[in-house]
Amino acid sequence: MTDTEQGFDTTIHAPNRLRICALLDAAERIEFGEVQERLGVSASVLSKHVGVLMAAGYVEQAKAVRDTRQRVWLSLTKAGRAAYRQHVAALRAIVGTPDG
Amino acid sequence: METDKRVVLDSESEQRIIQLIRQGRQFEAVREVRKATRLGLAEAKRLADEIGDANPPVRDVFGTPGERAEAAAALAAVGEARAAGFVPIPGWFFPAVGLLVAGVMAVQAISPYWLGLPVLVLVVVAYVVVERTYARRVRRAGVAPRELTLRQQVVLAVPLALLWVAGELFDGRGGWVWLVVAGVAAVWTIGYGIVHNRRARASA
Repeated sequence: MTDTEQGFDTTIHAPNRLRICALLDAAERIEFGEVQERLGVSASVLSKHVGVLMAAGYVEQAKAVRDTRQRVWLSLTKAGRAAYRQHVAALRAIVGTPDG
Repeated sequence: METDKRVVLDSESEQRIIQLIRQGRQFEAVREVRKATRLGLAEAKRLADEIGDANPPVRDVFGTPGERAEAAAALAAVGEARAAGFVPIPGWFFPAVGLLVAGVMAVQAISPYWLGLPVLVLVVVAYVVVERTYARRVRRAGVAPRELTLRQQVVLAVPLALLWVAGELFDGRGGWVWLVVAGVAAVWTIGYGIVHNRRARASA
């Protein structure tokens, strides 16, 4: 068994959570509504998965006011980014594709 | 030690794991073990073998077509989500920064130095405008592009610092030296931005 497979993370692997992490990894931070729209999931589903990722210390949220309305911005924590990348490396190891 | 870990598995989880292994869904079985025990991957496979009496053992068949298909599907979903979340740093950003850097350097060409103060003030105002425009764009888009990593910042800044040193070294030859240095700095920053955005887009 290769070391990279040790990075397999069950918290991240759930399909929606994996997509959330992938989306957040591509940006510095993304507004909650944008994540919802880009992934095509409902607010309640997104909240649930974000809650799990936050409890694991993988995602953090920041609140900011925009157009007099409070917006929530989501971003991966340093640990979250590392865990996500290790998980993707583990998936690649299983599939047998090189890292990249 | 393994027995202790097995104790934390409730009978329902254990039955589910056995069933998954019998169905040949080793990948999911290991996932169940890890979910229930928080064990590392290697230990989870060993425990799955022990529970399910898997034949062939889970640790030997990890990487079955089913698992590979699941992992490949997950990677495809990752690719799609990454593409959906990718936003490049705006095309105007690096040219604007390049002009600001060039502006600061060009001020050195002005003599006496106090004549350069209005230019410096202009550069500072331009910096504030660039910064605010960028922040407004991010707020409107709802997505903040990835910032430069420390390594990328160093790669961008070191040549600029070297240019500054060169300007100081050849300062005695006349103000034109600083104008050349400013021009090169602007070209470097703009070029860096083009390459950076191209690479970021390719990896998204």
